[in-house]
Amino acid sequence: MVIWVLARSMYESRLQYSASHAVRTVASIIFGLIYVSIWQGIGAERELGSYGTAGMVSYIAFNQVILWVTFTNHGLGLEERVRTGQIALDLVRPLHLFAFAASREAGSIAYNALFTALPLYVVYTLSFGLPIPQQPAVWLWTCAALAMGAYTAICIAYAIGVTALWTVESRWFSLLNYSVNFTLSGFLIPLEWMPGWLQTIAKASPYPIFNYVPTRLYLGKAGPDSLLVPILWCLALTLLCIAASAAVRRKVEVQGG
Amino acid sequence: MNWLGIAAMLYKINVRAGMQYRLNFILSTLLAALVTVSEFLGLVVLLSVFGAIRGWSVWEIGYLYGVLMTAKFLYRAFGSAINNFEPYLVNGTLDQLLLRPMPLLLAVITSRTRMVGGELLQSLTVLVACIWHLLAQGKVTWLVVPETLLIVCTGTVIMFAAGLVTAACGFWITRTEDLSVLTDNATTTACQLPLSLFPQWLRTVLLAVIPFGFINYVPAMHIVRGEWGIWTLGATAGVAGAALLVALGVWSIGVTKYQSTGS
Repeated sequence: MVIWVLARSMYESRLQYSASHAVRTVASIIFGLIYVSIWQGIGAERELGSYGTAGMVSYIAFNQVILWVTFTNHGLGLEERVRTGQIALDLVRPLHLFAFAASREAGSIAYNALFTALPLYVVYTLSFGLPIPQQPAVWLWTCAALAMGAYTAICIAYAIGVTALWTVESRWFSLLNYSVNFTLSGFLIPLEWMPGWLQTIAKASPYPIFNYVPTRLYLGKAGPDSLLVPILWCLALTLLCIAASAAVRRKVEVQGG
Repeated sequence: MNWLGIAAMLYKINVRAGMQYRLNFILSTLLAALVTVSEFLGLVVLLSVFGAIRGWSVWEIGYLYGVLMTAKFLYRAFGSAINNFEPYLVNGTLDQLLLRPMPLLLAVITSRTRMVGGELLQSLTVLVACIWHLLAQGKVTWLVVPETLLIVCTGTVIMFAAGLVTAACGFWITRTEDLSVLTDNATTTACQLPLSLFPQWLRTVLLAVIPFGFINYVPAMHIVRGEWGIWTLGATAGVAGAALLVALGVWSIGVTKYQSTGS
């Protein structure tokens, strides 16, 4: 119940900045258009394997849509809470720090899904002919993958956020996470077209769950077995976050006065 | 001491202050370099798999990237406060700067400094490597060096102008972070590649509204491709100068609309 209240309060707070958010949605539409244009340019000169140009346009467009379902605030806002000393109060709450931070972020992700991902989906369906799957199972597996992607993103952001206790500032870890994600998630190019060494790194990382796995499920190019590895990552990252929380309790020191 | 002397002194103070947290300083420098390398990796993978895109070779696209990112990081080095101006308005920090006995814009610019050594090293490495290959292929002459230096300077001015207009919009709308995603991030992402890839309306935006196309694409059509005349360099310098004048004008008007938000 507490978790639900926290998520809803974050969702409602995000509603306060609707004008600013509209600008971001427009920017996101343009970003998607840029990436689609790249593939249209490449596809105009050569075959694009099993995807074809239209398939790659759909792949990129859907990636841009779901980007917002796995987009988290920097370190789940923990850096600021460390800087202001708020983290000490967070740790005495009768709720685990990870559950507290993750619930708030879930509200933010729900907002992103409704007010950014959904409009993008409609725009890209109309402008790029993004296919709409007819089988309920495809929707089910895609939604399951997206839920796991969102949870994985929250776990990674939490692990980054708590590093602020040691480094004062953890913003660069977030930026590194975003940029590595951009390549290893298959956002710009499907994993199977990457050089072998990069494929190995990508497949050994949790990043494909953000884009590659859900998009291939949505396009009907993969089955539910592709969710097995992401499930393992969710479990492993949950353990990591619990361990990190225990370390935080031993490390925390209140700054300021 | 004149304004430039004061600005240089404040810049040094910011650098020293930033280095007080040694672990944080070293980590952020290393991570900044890693971020730019990993961002570039996506483009590299794409180009290594597919080679040329719409007639632009890997090295020519690398040149576009190198010029754009070098200009971007030079701008970020001294315009970090402009690039991240929203907190000054939201937290009321600008009030303190208004009290300083110096021009407001200079006070804002010198209030924050960002170390960009790692990022600049990456973009310059890409730029030099691409110029080297283009020279070896005989596609350009040594004239490419002074011409590139010129467009890096004009590109930095264009970036600064776009950033200043975005920051100045904050005097009316307060929140500018999302606006800068549109005017800075989206435009930078687009201009890493030849504008000829994009639909006409987007090309028009990038040439006439937010003229990032003049940072690299337009001059590169002369310097690297040799398809357009030397007039492109004059036009680039003209656009940079005009953009700066417009930006300073918008900033001046915006300052008169400022309402403190501090408590």
